[in-house]
Amino acid sequence: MSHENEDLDARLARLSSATAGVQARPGFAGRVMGRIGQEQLGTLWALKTPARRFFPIGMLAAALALVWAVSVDDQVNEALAVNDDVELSW
Amino acid sequence: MLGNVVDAEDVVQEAYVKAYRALMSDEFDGRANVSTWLYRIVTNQAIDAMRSRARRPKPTDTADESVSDLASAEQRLALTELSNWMSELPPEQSAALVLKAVEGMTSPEIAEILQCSEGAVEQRLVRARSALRKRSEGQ
Repeated sequence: MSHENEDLDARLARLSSATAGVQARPGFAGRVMGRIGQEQLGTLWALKTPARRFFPIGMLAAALALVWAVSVDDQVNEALAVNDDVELSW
Repeated sequence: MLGNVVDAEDVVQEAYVKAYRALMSDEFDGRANVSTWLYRIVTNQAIDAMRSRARRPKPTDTADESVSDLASAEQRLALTELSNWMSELPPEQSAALVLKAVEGMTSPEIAEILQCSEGAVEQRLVRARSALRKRSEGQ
């Protein structure tokens, strides 16, 4: 090899200039963006599993809200009926 | 540092994913320059790759094949020579020397990237040079 007696700094300088023009392969930026896109999808999938745990709680809350809404509706009807002096017969 | 474009691309890609995760979770505090912060992530990823490569050595001729379609013969030889030469050093010393001698960075910049003091950088550079000189004298 012709670089056997080369000084350490000279060898580093030679290798530095010889490798300076090396670039990534074509399409590298697209591959990186694709990988980051996968990462974003992974985040969405990761959110899906914990969300499933809250489904029964959500259903219970919806049922309670429905019961509350019906009871409030009855109370409102009664109040309106009294205000209009309507005699209720049961 | 890694001796071939394919490994370097893998390292840079994973580094960008780490940077993306850090940005999404507000881990980047903005104290460091963005380019310094990215250099830090890439360098740490490269050091990890060199460590795992040291645990399971790879045939050196794969480096030639991996860059055959995009680098000249001179570049391929230089990459392989640099990688083989730097593989004689511990990854931290190799990283400091490559950042200094190949990337042309200053010691304060290297210290910020490697998250150590300037004194530690100088020490790594001295040790790296000394080890490489000893090896070349011994050959």
